[in-house]
Amino acid sequence: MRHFHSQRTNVPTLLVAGLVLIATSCKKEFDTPPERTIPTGNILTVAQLRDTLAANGGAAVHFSTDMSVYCTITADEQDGNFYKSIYAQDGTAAICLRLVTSGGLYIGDRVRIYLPGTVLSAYQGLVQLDSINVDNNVVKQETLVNVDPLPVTLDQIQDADVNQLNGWEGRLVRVDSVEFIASEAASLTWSDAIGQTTVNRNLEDCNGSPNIIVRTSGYANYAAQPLPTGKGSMVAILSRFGSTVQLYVRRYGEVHMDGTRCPGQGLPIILKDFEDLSITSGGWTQQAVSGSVPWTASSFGSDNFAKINNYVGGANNACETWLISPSVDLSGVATPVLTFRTASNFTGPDLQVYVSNDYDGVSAPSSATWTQLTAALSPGSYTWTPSGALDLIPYIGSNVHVGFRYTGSSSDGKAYELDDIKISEN
Amino acid sequence: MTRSSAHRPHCRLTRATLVFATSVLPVATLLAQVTDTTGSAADTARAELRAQLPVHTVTASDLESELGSQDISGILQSSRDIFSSTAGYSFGPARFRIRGLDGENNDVLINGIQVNDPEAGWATWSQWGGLNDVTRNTEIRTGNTASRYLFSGIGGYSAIDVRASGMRKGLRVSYALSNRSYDHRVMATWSSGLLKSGWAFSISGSRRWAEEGYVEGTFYDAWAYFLSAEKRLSDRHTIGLVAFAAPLRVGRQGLATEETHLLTNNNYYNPYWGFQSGEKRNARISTDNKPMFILRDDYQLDDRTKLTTSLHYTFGRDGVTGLNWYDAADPRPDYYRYLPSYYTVTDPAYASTLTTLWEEDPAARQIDWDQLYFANRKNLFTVQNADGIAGYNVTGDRSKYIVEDVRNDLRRMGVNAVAVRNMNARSDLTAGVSFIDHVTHNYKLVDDLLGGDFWVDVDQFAEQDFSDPSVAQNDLGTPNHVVREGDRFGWDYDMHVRELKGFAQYEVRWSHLELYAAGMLGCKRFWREGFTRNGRFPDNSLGNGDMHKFLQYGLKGGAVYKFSGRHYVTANAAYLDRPPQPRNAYVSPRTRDEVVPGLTTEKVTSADLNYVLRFPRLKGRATLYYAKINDQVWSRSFYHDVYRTLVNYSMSGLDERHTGVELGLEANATSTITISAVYAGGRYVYTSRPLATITRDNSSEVVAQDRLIYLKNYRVGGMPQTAAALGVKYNSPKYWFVSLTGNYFGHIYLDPNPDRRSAEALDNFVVDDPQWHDLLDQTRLDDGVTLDLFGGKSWMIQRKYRLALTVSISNILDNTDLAVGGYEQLRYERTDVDKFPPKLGYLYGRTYFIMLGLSL
Repeated sequence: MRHFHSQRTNVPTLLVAGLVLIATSCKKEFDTPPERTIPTGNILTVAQLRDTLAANGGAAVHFSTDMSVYCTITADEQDGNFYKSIYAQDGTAAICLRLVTSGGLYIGDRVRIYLPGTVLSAYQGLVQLDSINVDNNVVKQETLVNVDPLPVTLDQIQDADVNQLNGWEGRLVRVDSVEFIASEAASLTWSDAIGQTTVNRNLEDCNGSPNIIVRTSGYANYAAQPLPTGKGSMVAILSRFGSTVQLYVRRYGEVHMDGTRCPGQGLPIILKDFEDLSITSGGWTQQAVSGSVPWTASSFGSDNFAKINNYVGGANNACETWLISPSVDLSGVATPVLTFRTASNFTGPDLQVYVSNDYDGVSAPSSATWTQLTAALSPGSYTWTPSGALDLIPYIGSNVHVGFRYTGSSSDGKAYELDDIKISEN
Repeated sequence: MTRSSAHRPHCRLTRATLVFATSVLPVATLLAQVTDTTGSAADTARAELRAQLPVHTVTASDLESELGSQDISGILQSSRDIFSSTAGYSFGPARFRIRGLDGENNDVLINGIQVNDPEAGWATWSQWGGLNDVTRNTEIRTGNTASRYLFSGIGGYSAIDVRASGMRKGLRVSYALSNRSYDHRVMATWSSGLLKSGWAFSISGSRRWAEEGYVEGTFYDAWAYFLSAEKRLSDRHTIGLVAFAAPLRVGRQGLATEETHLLTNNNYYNPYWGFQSGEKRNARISTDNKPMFILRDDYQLDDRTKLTTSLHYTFGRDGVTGLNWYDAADPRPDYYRYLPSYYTVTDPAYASTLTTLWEEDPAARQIDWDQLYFANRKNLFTVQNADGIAGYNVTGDRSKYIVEDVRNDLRRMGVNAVAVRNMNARSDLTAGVSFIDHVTHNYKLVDDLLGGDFWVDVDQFAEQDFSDPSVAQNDLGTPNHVVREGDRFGWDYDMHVRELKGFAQYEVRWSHLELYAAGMLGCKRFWREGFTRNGRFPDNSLGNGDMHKFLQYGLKGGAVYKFSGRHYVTANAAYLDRPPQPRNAYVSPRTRDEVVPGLTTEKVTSADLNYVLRFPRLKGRATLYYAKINDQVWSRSFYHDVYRTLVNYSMSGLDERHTGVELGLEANATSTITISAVYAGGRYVYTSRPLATITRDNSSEVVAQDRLIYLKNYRVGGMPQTAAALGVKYNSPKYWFVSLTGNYFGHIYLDPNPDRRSAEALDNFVVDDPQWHDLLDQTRLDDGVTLDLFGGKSWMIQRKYRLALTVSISNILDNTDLAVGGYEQLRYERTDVDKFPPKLGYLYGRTYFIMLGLSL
């Protein structure tokens, strides 16, 4: 302790010396790890890769020796329609890629996939390269590589089992002059954005080809958008589930369907399907001319419809009750038709269908002029029966109502179920 | 109408793939291969993707609890009151808080300046950490009390006096060896005393460091420097300047679930670090440096009136780093899908594979930095129309994983004036006024691209949710912004706070009775100023937001009745109407200017009754206290499993009540043996049913409004509500002492996750369902006991120098099973609460702190 003798003079020196002594930095500068490379090995085309599955008798192929395949990503997860399952192709063929973790590959990426660790298999007929770890199996070569979609018709792609969709399985395709079927295009969205389940919609063309499914995830960022109502083109991935062909849109912006629909496939001008279990939604009204037997919403299984029955309280009740549509403007429609379906049971007067051009929408039916139409009706036993197309051309006008008149007496009366009332252009 | 039946997913994973998987990132890779095979489960998995995106939520109490765990406050330097000193010294490490009150109820002053952060409410003790030598002169008062500095909060105040003239003259150097947050501390301080010239100087500096602290993967690197100069201009007038700073760089510890503690057989398992090229690297590094300057003028106006005026300024950086990732697997090793429990039911074989990996392979249970570099270096990407310039394409390796630096830089200036007038022999009047202008600059920087070339400043959630690409932009001013190391991204805004306060206090004394009364009136305003236009909120993110003004006032009073000089009773009561803390007031300040619905002032009522003993051989205090804090707001962001999205969760009308007793007794059994006993029995409960509003973070769409949260009678969590200590100390006349203290901690609860306590969470469950209790029951941690030893000896050398050795051994019994803090995860699954179990922090096991000091 002797050296602390002359403290006064030593103070600053001591402090400085002390600070210098302890100024050995312990801030770590980290080395960057050395580059690690993925070997290439034998190079396969996508077609050759797919062939190895057949060569293995269809059993899953586990790759262990160095091998790579080059291909270009044609569908990615960006729009939300694909999740951990994307598509790629080269000049020879296309394939579904299953990722271990979501993300990291984008449309237009030309990649080398190092095969060891991945597994080639088929799921419901679809050949897929599975267990791809993007971080470990994929090396990107180039970005923004353009791949032109292959133009195909619905007819050409209807059968999934025909030689792997003509060799197009997983390909990026474009279908032209197609539209969603009228019943879906009229009111449905692409998918179920609320429940986030995956939904099928049906695509048709004007040639009567079989419909093809367009399948969309509830996570697609356009899931809640209404389906396009017109006819046009769509770029999609051609895929399959067993023998069912499925199309998957990869970019919402590649759907251009706003042209005029196919003849005879017009959208309904009015549609009442009772799915909301409401009799009066959409402007429908009921008029009790006599008695008090109303139309009520009813269901059987998952189907909802309107029902009426005058057998109430253990007896038939005399009644006359109308179900009347809102006013429909048919003035611009060339060939309007009315369709609906019925199911009935028991005996009594038939349901009657009327049309009017001068009903005011609120008064008693007797205040207007009604013309009865002839429709096919249910023969009984609750057999659902389509009405056939009821021609409305003679009644074209700006204020058209259709009415369903149910009558029953104190001694008899049928039970009627009524559904899918539709006025559309024929 | 019937719908076409849905098909199963079109691509499907074969289970056999597991066997052949090769993997460089073993846990992450293997686990993801066990994919759900049903449609609905796959959708759930899809939702999960969003859940694993990085989420940034910095809230007042989060920060406080984190800081609290790593930086034991200066309350260590406690007053002579045995209760307060034991509470600080022995209970502090167990996160004990006096009366269960937050830092915002305790005012901290340095040279008369209040240093509580006006945005968050609390004082950051680390701002002067390592300056122990010069912050010794601290006056601590607990609870409702008179104060001649300010109108103090209901928790009391600590007034640190760092004037050079008050420092003990001479040089002091010390070295400490420890195994806590740091291993070594060196400190040197020199003070001149009052020189003949009228000057006084004091300088101090220290360094504390550890290559690796008590917890694996942590490190500590702190400096501190201090300069105080004071000049006595006349008998009546003194002026002084103080400047100090404590630059700090700390690798942090993360709390973890019990499962990871069991798997690693380590209650201090730290998910924040991993090996990079064989070296341990921590992803969460706090870096602080906030110098403070105080200019103080003491002026004796006349014989009876003293005026103290101060100007102060502080500024600097405060940041913590963390991993961020884009369109890639979650790099955090303890992500719940990387844990065996996630597979226990669905795939027991894989669960056992994972268990083995976790138990045996450090690479599997820590961050795999090398893998992050590997993934980044080959992720070729072209950013089209980069930086908003049409046709400008940038091609390079886009980092999937980066380290980002989340910054809360501050600058604050203020002025303060307090006058004390001795009215007559019996009474004093104190009056003061203060003004503060404070700004916190919140933003993010790219800290390390980890081998990649750039990062793109877009929001991944929004990219998925909206087809319009502009929505995903974090900065519409520079769309598709390509950022590199050192560039700002994510968010960028200032939080402005201005506060003007005045107070007055009157004290009067008689021989047996003392009374005081004080009142405060003030105004606080705060607003957000955004520097970027956010794509989700283009209309309320840029520029100055709404200004929120609050009037505040407070009243308090107290009495002391002295039976004699040896024992007396005191009683105090206070009422405050105070503004909410700006940091709690916003729904999501990162993205927009929107405050919590129902934002209002907090109403605080507090009272205490004390009996104090001051006999020569028996000293002590018994206190009954009551505090009620009403109308608080609460705001957090988290992933909500029912809504399957990141939500902002706000509550208003949150009330809490703190009641309890404090007992402290210190008896000199003999001339050398002192026995002390301390007991803190508190009951801190929520007393209201607050209303919650839940909004989507992406769109501010309200998904639930006025959700009633059944929080009544849940305990306020995060601290022992009961604590007791029994100590014995031997004081040798030969300049040494040793003391042994046993501590007990009980009634430790985790703060309740509010959403779990709602009718919506319980929907469809009946009382007999196990979920009913799983959701509702509050997590209570085990009680525990520790034993601490403290001893010291000093020597005089040549009658000039004093050498002192102190040894402190905490938790001698090495009790490593005492969890003292943590939180219930806000993310929860109604049907299976254990899926997201609480994260816990444990009291350190046996630690030591040995210090050798020399005073000249």
